[in-house]
Amino acid sequence: MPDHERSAEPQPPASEHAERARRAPVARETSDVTRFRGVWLASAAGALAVLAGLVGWGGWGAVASPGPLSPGHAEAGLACASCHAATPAATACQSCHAGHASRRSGHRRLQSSGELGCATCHTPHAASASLVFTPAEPARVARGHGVSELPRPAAGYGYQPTSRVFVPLVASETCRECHRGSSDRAALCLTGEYQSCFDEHRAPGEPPADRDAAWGAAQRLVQASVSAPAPGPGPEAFLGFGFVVALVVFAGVRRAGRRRAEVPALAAQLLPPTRRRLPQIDTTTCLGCYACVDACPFDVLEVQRFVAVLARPDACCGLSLCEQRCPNGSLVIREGEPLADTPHLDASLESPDVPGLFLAGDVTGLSLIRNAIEQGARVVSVLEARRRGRASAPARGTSRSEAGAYDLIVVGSGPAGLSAILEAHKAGLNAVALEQGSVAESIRSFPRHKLVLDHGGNPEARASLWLEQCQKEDLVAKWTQTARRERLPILEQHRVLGVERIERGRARFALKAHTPEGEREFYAEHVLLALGKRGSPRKLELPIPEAWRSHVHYSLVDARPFAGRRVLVLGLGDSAMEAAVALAAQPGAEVTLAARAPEFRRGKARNIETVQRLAAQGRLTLLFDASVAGFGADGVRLSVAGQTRELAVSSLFVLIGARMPWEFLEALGVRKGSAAETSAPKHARSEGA
Amino acid sequence: MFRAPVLRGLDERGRLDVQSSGRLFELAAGEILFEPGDPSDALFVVLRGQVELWSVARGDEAASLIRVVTQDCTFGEEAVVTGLRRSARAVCAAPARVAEVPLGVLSRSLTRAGATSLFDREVRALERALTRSLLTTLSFGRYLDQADLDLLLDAVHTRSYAAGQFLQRQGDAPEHCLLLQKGLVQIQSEQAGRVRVHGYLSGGDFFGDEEILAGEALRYSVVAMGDTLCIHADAQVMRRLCDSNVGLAKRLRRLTLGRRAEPTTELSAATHQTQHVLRDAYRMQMARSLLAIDQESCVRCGHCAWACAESHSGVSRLIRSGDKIVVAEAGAFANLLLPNTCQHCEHPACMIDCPTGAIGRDAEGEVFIREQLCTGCGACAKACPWHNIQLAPRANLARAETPSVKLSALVAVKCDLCRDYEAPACVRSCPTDAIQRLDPRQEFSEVRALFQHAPVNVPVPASGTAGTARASKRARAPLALSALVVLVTLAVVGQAAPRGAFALGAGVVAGVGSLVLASHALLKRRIALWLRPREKRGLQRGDARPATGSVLSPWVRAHQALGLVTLAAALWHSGLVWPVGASGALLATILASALSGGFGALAYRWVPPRLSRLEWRGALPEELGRERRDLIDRLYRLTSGRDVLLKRVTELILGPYSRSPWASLCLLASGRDLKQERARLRRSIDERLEGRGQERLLVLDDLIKVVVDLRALPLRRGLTAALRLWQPVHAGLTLALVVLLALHVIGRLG
Repeated sequence: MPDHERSAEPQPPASEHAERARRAPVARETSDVTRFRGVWLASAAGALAVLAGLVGWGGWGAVASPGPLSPGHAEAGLACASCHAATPAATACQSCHAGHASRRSGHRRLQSSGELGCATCHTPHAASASLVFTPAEPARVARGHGVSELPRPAAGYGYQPTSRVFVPLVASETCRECHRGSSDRAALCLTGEYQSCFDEHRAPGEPPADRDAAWGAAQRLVQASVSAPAPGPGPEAFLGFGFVVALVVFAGVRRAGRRRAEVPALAAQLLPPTRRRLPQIDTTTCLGCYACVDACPFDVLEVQRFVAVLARPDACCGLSLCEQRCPNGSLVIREGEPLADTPHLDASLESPDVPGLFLAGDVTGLSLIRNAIEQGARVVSVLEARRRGRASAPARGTSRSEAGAYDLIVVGSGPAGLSAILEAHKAGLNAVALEQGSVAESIRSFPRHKLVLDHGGNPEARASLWLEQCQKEDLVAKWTQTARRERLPILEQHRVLGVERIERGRARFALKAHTPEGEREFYAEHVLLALGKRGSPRKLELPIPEAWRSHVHYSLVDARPFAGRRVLVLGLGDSAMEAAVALAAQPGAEVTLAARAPEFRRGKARNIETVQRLAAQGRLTLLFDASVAGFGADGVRLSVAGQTRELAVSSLFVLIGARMPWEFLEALGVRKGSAAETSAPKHARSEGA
Repeated sequence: MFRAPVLRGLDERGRLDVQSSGRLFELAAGEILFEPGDPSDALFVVLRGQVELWSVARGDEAASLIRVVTQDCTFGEEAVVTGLRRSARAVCAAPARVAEVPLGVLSRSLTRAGATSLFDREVRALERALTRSLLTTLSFGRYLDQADLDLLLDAVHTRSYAAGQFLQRQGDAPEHCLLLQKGLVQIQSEQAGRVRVHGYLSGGDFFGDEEILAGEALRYSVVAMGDTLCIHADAQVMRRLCDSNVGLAKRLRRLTLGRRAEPTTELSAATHQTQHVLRDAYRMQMARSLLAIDQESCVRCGHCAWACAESHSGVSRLIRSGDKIVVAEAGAFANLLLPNTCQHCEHPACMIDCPTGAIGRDAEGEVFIREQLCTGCGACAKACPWHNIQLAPRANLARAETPSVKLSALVAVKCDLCRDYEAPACVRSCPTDAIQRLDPRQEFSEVRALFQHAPVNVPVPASGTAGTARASKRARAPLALSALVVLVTLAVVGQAAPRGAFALGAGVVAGVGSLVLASHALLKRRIALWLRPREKRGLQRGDARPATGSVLSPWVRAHQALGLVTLAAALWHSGLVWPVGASGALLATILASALSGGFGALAYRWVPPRLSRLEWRGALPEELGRERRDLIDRLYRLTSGRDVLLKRVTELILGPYSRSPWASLCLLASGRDLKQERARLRRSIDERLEGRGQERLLVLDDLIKVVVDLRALPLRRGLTAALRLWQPVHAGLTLALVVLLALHVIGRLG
């Protein structure tokens, strides 16, 4: 069959497509939709603020009306009707100010044609200003709001009026409305705030009249000291005010919206269930929608004939995730008989029988990684609270030598242990974690790319240890990264052999651990057992010769180094089968899977099917009724169905199950459930062959 | 109704389910219920009246009457086999009342009640007929005589496969010949640990005979890419047939690798190539109305998502992030973003998985969700391979709930092509006409080539035209520039004109123009102005909605032109000397508003092509914020536990590369796209290493990807901000302008 090179982007193999999702995504509001939220409200608020500011500051006059009368006209006793009775109001000026025609030819022409009127330059309302000359008093400025002193007292302007005289000032801006541009010579004269270049109503060459003195004085004063009125806040200022108000309203609306959008968090569970809890399904209303099947992390439920059924009740963890996800309440959790095989703990996860001994994680009987993290953190917070309550707190950072006693020793660095050591490190406790393998060993053994589900709860808490809906590799990487970054005191390859209760100063417990350097003793005031349910791997009954020590493995972390090698895998459980499949996938590897059992007894159907298929294809050798009889120079002696066979292998994987951690607890005196006698633990039976 | 034979076995619960999920139609005489070739999702029961089934037999020209359906009889049974199309036309003879029963609900209810015998018999008969027709399309099938054909039909069995399942595996012994009935499969082989893709096969393809006759182990694996139905013919039967029919072996021609997914060479030469259109061939096969956003015109304003939310009670069904593909189109290449929104599949996995039958399909091809039946279980959302369905709070919960009927708080929502409106809101609302809904099997030449033999007769609710929008955009640029030049000249010239009426006129023009410009915001945000609801009857046929483009984009162009006119008029009105006071503030605001608007218009033209070069996937601005942390996490994960050489390369070359402060601007200025940048970096590393240590640097390519993304990230954030942040400024300034204008006018009038 002809083979073709990929010529463009590689297309992904379909077999690597993601499995069907197990969690339905919830609609989220994107920034596109919320971007302009609150803009209308904010704009309306801003506009209202501008209007309110203007009206509040200057009354309605600031917006629409021209303002109050200038003091001159007010003193003359004018009212609205005096001028506005005539139409247009501008013609009313002539009734008092007769003979004040313009003397400039250009202006006169415009005046006669009607384009220029009195009101074009002067207005009796507030906008104009005038200089007031009062006999025997200094000159003042009169504006719409009243008469005020000159900013700089002026002396010697040389005019003593005989009666009160008002000299109106025309703002240059009024002139500039027509005289603009560089080609207009009149515009060149318009320097300053007020027009003071020439007397409009006096032709050049006319003989001076009495008013000229007033005018001349005004001219000198204006040039010297009168400045334009300090403008009250014009519309621009109110715009700024309105803008600020709009921004505040906008921010307020957004913050209110953000608070509404938060999803209420579920409280984490700390104590394991005390009674056996199993789901019960009402088959008359069950839709067969797979919501409960997808929610269950342990594959307890299945859908058969479009109705959910309980397929593996033994694996049920008793937490009500399935009940929460059922859309119409067909599934409810029923409580049954009290559970007898969980350790007896109080509310702070301490054993009431053994003070100072805490348990956290799977070993307490409470499932789910998130709960384990919470439990580990909780234990440390309890210890912290106790330490604060004590009068004499031991000094921090005391020597960590063997002779000293630790505040806390954590046994195990799975989610519970890691969470505990992280919190202890942050709190400054003198603590250490003893791990028999490497950090997060239990999670590493999950199937490749297994989806770790997020089961709700407060996402803020323990953020450094949690990822939402990730693959197992991501979670392991995050934990390793956290352990390294925080320099957590985790001692790997330290397998705790036993815990004894002692009385030695502060230390209440003595732990004996097997380390690569030999055996060591640790002393601690408190001990947290975060052992999980996996326990320690079972060993071969045979003694292993020195030459084989480094070639016997109890777990498979990475199959790639075994390419091209001959490997023997002992065991027939899920971990043994998965390891054999992973090794067989390596190019050039020869894999033999041997087990004591005569046939497949347990494990996932998918694994069994894969192993059988590979065996049929010849990529894997399957041996039943086999056990290791001894070790040779370059191989292993197997006893297969009574006959001895030499198998040339370079590595041996012993995956025959685990020893459950009950011995620790029982030896220490921890009771189970509420029963005083210790019954034979059901969990001590191991998996595998 | 439940007297019909197929429905007779239903129990109490089954009847309730069927009644609540079915629909009743009142038909007048002559009304057509379905046509040949329509998708079949439901069974029909006649409650009253008569319905006639007409079909064109082979060799005839006119349709002939096949069957008359009377009261309490069923028709439309081809729906029991998923994917089968209607073969006849159903016309109402006398005024009739017809009940539609969705197949999903019916089969579930029958299974629960244990009354599937009639149903199964129907299924078997139909499958046999289908297999027979499929076999006769193959050349060797036509060669066989009736006895042999019946023998073969008895010996075959049908199996269905989900996505990712293997139909056959490399290295196994050949056991079957396989004939694909529906679906898409990928041919792959594993060589030296790596899986290699060789091609695709779809419905109607036949393979496996060569290996059976040769008798050797299979050399390749076949994986289903979506829901696939496959007919297996046992090897022994095939061999016996070949023995008894001389010459059959020669006729067994395989057409598998004739249709491999080989991209054309011109596509390989495309710049800023993201992903090939056939990267997700199954999606291209399934989609009937794929939403595609042209990344070089899209200005990332998000108005499409906003319009979707506005027309659907606040929950947007469109999220502007997703895969990007590149397609060849009339000599040019288009970079298209395929956001997470329903694409109205040919075989909707959501519809098949819905336990209550809430998801249905219209005669026009739109897949919609009926909220009163939805229980919020989420099965559809989990089934959709592209996660296009989400759960959202139910609208009108308080109003719809009664003490006897308890409704779920959450319902599934997805795009329904705005079936209650005259056109999809997203398409109509795009200011640059960048968004369109299209059928990949018609619009993309590569996809067309891959599925050329498949019938395309499902009514396709497509809208929007692909290429014409872009051509018209290119013509606009010189037009705008010349308009600007003309207007500015007029404004300057206006100074020489005498004052008075002209200036006042210009002022009025400017004022009115400002008000019209400000009203653009109102226009954009009042959906009712350009998206009208329509009355939809249950069986709307024949008046399919015409293809439409964007309604807003001509208005946006008018807005820009009017902005220039208003600016010129304002300058004319005020003259070149700056007025003081409120008038000055007004002029300043006009200028600022025009400047910000001009900046926006320029950004709209200049930024999108450059931005699309730097993106591998479409991302929302809030996702860009998180992306830096994710990239650094990924960098850490890729380097931890690796070879020392890799860590050295990271430390000495890649680290400084990603942290260099001016790096992003260099990338922008150079005009390189992501692919070229990666190649350049790889080349420079290879030069430094002089080819040593290649076997220790296996993940270097992934590292380079991460590092180049890190370098492009600040640029993407900056460019996206440039596209989006000027809008609030512009809107605020225009609002201020309106207020100042009002004050100015009032002040002048008073």
